Amino acid sequence: MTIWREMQDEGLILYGCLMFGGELKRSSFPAEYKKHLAVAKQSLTYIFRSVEKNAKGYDEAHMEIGDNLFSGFRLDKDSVVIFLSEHDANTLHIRQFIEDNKKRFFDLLNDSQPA
Amino acid sequence: MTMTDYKVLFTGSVCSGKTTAIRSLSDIETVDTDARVSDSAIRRKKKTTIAMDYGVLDLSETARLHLYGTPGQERFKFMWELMMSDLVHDAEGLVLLVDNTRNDPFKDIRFYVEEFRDFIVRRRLIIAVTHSDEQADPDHEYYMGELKAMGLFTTVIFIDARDPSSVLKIVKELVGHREKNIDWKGLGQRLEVNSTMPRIEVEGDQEKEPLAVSEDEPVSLLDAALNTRGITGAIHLGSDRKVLSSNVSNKQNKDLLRSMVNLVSALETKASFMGSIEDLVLCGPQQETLSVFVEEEQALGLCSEKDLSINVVKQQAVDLLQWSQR
Repeated sequence: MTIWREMQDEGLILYGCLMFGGELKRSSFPAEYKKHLAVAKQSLTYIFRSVEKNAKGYDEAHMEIGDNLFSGFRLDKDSVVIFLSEHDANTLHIRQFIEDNKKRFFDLLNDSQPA
Repeated sequence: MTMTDYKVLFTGSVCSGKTTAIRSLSDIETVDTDARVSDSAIRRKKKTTIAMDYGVLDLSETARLHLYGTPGQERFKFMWELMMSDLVHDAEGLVLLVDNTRNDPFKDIRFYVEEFRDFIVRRRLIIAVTHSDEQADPDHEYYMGELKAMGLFTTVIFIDARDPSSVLKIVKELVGHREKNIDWKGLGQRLEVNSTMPRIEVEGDQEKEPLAVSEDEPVSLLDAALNTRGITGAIHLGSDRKVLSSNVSNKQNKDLLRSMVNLVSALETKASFMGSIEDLVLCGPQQETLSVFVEEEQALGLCSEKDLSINVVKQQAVDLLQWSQR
């Protein structure tokens, strides 16, 4: 089972993607969510870049749009994992999942096989 | 004769009418624990319930209803938990009072349903909509449709918390099927003395209701924000996204908040296919949480302690923006 599917099954997220150096490396966003993915990438990349320049120490951002919630978590300086969830998703549980599974996200990022 | 005791818990946002509803129904002088407001609600009223409200309604010679009300403010959440686990663990149901004048009453519903999720799993939930005399929409049909969409199949009753016969509809819904011998008409008449409905002005009688809103010096939005537990700074921006006022002393935080507001403004068109952008929150393990809440007319940026939950910050921001006196 993929890590995305596992998070979906736990009711944490709808879709997710992994970015490295501002580029999309892995994604479970389906084709019909292309526009959502574009908004997620643009907004969260921008916010983390701003943070990098002006204020170190922030590693998590959430943006509520309509019925959806975009969440971004910095795994390290260059890697960000982004999720699309229902607007009332439990961000504490998502955060905990990431803390518990950080290595799996890095493995996925380094894996050459499709996610 | 055996006496059957029922319990019901009233909850809802500040100013939704919990204390008033309990006073309307109680046969005894209600026990309330009011204190001067010390959070975002300060702009709307000067006193609020800090521990709980309690009253008793004699339904018949064999049945009695104990009425409990939670404090509305999140910072007394420990009381909610204490009440749920102890005083009202055996309650018949939860009455969620929803103030219809709120910008988005469904946000309140989502917040309280989430907070009381475990409690309502095994009990009746009744949503009682108040202040509909000031704001008629959303109407009953709209509530039913939205709640269904939220997966909440519950009863919605429009009430006037000041009118005992109106609040009695909740009691009938809760225990009417269990207690068949209640004289509802007589009960309504008996409770008439509790009514706090405004007096109808008759010719020659110029007596007016005392003003509900205090005429004290108005409290600014920033003061109200700083009066809120866990909020350490606030920045208020106008429709042009220029700063109206700010008490964020840390330049880095101020710049970040402005940058977040600008990002939201820049994304508004691009993300419009998903709806409007409600908020953007930035967190870090050792940092204060920064949040921005954007409306067409104004925007609010908040710095809050890292341990304050995002949901609570959002709820406080909704209150602050709703009651802002621009």
